[in-house]
Amino acid sequence: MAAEYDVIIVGSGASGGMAAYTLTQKGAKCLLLEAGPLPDFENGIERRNVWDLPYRGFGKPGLNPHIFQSNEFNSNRWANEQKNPYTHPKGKPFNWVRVRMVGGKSNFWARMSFRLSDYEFKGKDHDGFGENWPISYADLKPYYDRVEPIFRVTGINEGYKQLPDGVFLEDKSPYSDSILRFKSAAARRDIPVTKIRRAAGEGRLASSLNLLLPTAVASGNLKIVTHAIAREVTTDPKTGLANGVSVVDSRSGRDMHAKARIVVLGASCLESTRLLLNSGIANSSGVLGHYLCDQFYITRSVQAVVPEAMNGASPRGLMGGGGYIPRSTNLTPGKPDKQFLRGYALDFNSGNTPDAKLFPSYGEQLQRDIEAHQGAGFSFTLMGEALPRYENHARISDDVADAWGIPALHVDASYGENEIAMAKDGIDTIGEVCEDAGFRVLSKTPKWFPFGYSIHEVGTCRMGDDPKKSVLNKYNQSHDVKNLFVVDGSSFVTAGSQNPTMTILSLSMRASEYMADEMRKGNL
Amino acid sequence: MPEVMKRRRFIKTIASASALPAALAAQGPAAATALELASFDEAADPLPSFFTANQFAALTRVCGLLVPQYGEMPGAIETGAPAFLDFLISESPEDDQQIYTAGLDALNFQAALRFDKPFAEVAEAQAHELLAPLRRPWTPEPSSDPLTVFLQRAKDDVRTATVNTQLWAEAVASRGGSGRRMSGSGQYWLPLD
Repeated sequence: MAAEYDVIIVGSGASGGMAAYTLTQKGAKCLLLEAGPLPDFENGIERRNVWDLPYRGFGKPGLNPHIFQSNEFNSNRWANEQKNPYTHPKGKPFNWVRVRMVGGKSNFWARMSFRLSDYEFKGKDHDGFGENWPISYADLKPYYDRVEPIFRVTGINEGYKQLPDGVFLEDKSPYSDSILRFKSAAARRDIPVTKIRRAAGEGRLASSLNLLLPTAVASGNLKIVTHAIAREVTTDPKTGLANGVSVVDSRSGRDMHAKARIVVLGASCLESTRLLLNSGIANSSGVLGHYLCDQFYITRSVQAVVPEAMNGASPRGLMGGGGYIPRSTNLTPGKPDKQFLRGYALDFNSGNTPDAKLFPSYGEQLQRDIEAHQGAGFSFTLMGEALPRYENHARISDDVADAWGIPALHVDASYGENEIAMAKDGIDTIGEVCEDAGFRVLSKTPKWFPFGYSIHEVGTCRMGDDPKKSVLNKYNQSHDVKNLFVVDGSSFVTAGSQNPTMTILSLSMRASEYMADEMRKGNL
Repeated sequence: MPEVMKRRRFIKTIASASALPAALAAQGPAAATALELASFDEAADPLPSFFTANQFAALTRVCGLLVPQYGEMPGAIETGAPAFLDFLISESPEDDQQIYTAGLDALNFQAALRFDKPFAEVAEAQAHELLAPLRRPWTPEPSSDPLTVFLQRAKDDVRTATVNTQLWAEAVASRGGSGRRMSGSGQYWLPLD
């Protein structure tokens, strides 16, 4: 007979990995269920020439229609959409990007590592919209302070209230001259520019796979089972408490059941939500699956060119590097400075080559245009906060199930007027700063990608103090099922404009320490 | 047996050696991995089958105009882009197929209307006249004109189909550049278990 564990953790990415890391060090016996295999970074990857690929780098048409990050080199790393389908309304596409392997998406993230601030945690107090989080920045700060050293985050502290300082490996690299020019022009408009804050990790990998799970396994308190797809969280009919997880072996289709005192979901925002909806629990509030939000991304929203770098004439030190522009709008309480709520961040890159589509030419002229602009580009990705709105939601599909018969998700979400106004402001403003800096603006592109494109979906199991308005309490604990925790991004109340991973990790660490304390006290 | 078929069968035989039957695998992989394999593109000729003859002729002309031979760099024709795109589009979702077929038909229609010839046969200057949409500034809003939509798409696809070839990479390398940098090699993820 299988052992009964203290905790079952579903998902091995950032949130599940951090739960395993924290709980096992507190002595909890944990079982981690991962839907995919253990990736083999040694033998599972090989160098190939693009011309040796069957589709010359285009990729097999229709294979990953919702994953714009997919290409012919990496197409096998994403969750297969034919086996793992989902639906969305016609004309309202949603890009759900999933990775099923030990480490999850943390094996491939861009490693951008930012903290949220009280502009997010107490957003309602600031502008009256939506709900506050049940925690403040002060509650989470001690956990950010401990997570950042684990992930070895590089950056510089500049004292921005909207982008709190951290425990960084100081980034002492100099800015290139083009960035200094841009920074100076931005400063004249009170727009801050800082270094990217990025997890350096170890050996070019900053993943749950190498930074969290090895410690958990070494404790002797963790068992990891791969190819284990959670079908539903089971409950004791007498107490209503969770008593385990029913799970299917993805290779054989064999159904199994694992037992534990506590169930922790860290399967990613929408997979955890799907699991709860399929389990029929934790939804007395009726908000489970609602308030889906993210950051809308507009890549290369502004593409500029540094004239002095044209035609291969760039002086040494002019081009290169990148940076980050934190939110600069609506920061004064009670004094909105824009016609929209909240704000956007941008990251930028110096020294790229503009996309061929931007040149009004073809043939030899296009080739000459590309060569003339080689390495002279300066481009921006806009990352705006999508407001949490009840109508943006995920529910169980009426008629679609995955390859193992588990009902699939139907996602219905779209951006609204606030996001559109925010994007226009961001693109126009940055275009003007580029011109102030002496750059030539080649394109300003308010091109909208589908909801979900940023892979930062959050909010569908939101936390809150009021059980009638939220799924989880301030410790990521279900209001309805006391021994059920959801530690991934679904617990967010707002998305902010910052990348979410550091906050997910910190929330998971905090919730896991709370769990361990409650277990020790006999409350769980 | 046609020459193309013979070559394909030969390549298939070589490729199957790398599949390693159990008996061979038991001897160790060294003998099998020492074989140098040929790529399809260098060994066999494509058999275009998706587009009609008129559409394919127009596509071939478009390819030659969009990415012509340039100095020592090969163009779309030299790298077999038209036949490759015939294959790629044949495998693509219906919406993508429609972009190509409607665009190529529009190109032939315009050529017949204005110059009384299919696009493949119009004079050089006339062909450039018909590609006028590509000389307008790019806008993010999708065009409602099937010819413009097709040409914008083809501009991207033909270039990618040309650049991502061994011929292109070798030409870049011979210019003193890096074939890897220009044409790309990368870390390929094998299928997961």
